Amino acid sequence: MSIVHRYKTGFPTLPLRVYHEHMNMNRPYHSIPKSLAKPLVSSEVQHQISKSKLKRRQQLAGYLTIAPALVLILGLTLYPVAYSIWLSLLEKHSFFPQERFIGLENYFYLWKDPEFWSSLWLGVVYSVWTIFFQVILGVAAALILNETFVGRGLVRGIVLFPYMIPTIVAVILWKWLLNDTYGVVNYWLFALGIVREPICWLGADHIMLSLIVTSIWQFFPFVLLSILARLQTIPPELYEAAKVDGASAFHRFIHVTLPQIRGILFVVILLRSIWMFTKFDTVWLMGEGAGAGRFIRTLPVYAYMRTLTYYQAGLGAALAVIMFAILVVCTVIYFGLFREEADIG
Amino acid sequence: MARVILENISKNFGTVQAVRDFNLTVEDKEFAILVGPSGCGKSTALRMIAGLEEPSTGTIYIGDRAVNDLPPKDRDIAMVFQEYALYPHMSVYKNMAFGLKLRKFPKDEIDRRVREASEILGIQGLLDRKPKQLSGGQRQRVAVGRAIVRKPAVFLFDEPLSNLDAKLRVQMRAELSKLHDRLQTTIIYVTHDQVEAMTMGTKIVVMKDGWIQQIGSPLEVYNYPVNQFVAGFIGSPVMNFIPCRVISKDGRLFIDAEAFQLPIPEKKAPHYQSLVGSEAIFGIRPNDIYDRLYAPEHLKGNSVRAVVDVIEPLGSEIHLNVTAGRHNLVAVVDVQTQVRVHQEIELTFNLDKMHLFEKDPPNLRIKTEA
Repeated sequence: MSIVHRYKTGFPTLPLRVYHEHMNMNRPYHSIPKSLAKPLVSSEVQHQISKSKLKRRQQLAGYLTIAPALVLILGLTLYPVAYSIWLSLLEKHSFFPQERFIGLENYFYLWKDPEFWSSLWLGVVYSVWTIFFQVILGVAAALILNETFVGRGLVRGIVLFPYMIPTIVAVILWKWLLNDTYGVVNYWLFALGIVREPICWLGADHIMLSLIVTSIWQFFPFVLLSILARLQTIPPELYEAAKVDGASAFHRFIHVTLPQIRGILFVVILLRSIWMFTKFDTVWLMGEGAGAGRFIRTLPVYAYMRTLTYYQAGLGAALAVIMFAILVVCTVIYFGLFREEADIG
Repeated sequence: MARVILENISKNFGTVQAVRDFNLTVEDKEFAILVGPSGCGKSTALRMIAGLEEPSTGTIYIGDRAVNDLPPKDRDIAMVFQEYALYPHMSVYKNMAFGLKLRKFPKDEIDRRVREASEILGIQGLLDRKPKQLSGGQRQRVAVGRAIVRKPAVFLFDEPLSNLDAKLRVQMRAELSKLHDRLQTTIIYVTHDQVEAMTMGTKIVVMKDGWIQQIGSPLEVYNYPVNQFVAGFIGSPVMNFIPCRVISKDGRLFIDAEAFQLPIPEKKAPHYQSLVGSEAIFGIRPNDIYDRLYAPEHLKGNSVRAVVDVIEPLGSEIHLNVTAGRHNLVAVVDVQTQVRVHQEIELTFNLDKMHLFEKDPPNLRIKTEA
């Protein structure tokens, strides 16, 4: 029964006859050996025709099987991107249905908008510093945790905490620590005589620094984890061979470790860059209620505000599209610069 | 060009004693082989010479220097690892040049040495390749090349052939022997393969459980093993061991293995006199057992009946697994031998080559040589 049903839904006819006669089993047609199929074909010509038919059917079946995945990818990735681009060409309220096509008007507006340039700059500052120190700190910590010492397992677990803590908790924690009146940081700086008066860490002058420190703390374990996993797969003989060859610890790092982690470093920096440049929650929570929020208003926060504070959905979409374009361009350049690593990665 | 001396070396990993009371002198230009089953401490001993492990006690001399406190790079050694340990991102040329570069050799000298070594090893055509693009045998050559460009006083090899297939291993064995001949440098070589030890070594050090069992030339170790372990470890197929009793009958000594009795040759008898009436282990190599039909005339008296269990024709000879009484034996017999499984065969023992071992550990061999 199931064979007949399949037959009706567009599956092949010829092979079905083959297994009706020879197999009488409910098996997919392509598992029929060619030697069985051959005697049924009376002439060479017919053989050719049915062969190409078979091929086309196989192709169709192939497309059908990837169709669900294709629909998902198109629906969840391409459609939103395309819609954002369309939205960025409209003047549209975020909630009311009015909309007006205005071409590239939103982009022209942003070009002349100092707030846009400021948020772009802040985003770059934030990303570059956080990525740089995350990678340095992550690699250094991974190298240390790759050594053998008492309590290594415990330390390896603890060091991942910052990455596991929910962002809201992490930010509140750091805001406490950095509070200018009752924060621990100021207390110790004061007690140790490093500063004479409390520093306003969450004020205009220092909030970017505070945000960067918080983010490095929160995200370096990701780098650590990735690098550590790779370090553990480096064969120890390589280090021994290098020792016999006369390589110092520094040389061993440069000539053995670094080449081995280049591939994963490439991927980690790529991912962290994308995630830091589009980072919203940490930035938003840090700036929210601190008064100095606009000094850390990066592009994602600005896009959010345009969309949900000023209800300018078109403008918000334009900002998102610009972010997307920047990331695409940077990623392409990055892959071009590090082609070799991309292959390893 | 150096002599290597290990004096009272031991090495403990926690409570595990990997190497114990190790005393060894490897003369200049010798090809010394540390051989033993896995876990016998041979690699640990080698790694201590290399400086990759620190001995718990004792002193290591390379040349005239005590090197205990020297890092590997200052010991004037080069090492070839089992897994080759080539730097994967470097070309063959760079792999070989790396050690020289770190030692700040001039560029043209490095180039000269790398090309010379690659010629010796027949890898001139591979210099631009990455290790990934090489076969196992080629990688092994590069690893050897990396060692010889340095012209060290001592080469250390840690099971370098165990990752190669059987055919390549035979070929590389001969090449390493040739290389030793050509370089005239001290080599210390670790392997678990007694064939490698026998074929390449000028001095064999047999180890077990961290202890040196015997040091000697290949033939010494083969012909005069100090104990049952060495006798069983060196030589293939493995020596036959049969529990027996030494008895005296009509003024002659016999081996009594219940199923059969064999007369001990007159020459050996005086050495075994003290064993009369006590238990021992009779040892004889499979090559010293003949099918009676093809045995040398003067041996034909010492025959034993046995039932054939397995026949392994190797073309040039036949290996027979047989049962004599309740003892399983292996015999290497003439290719012309006509037998079938379950058939009875008459075997002749060349008792001039027999050994007797003490029944109790360490199962020392009773010496019969002068």
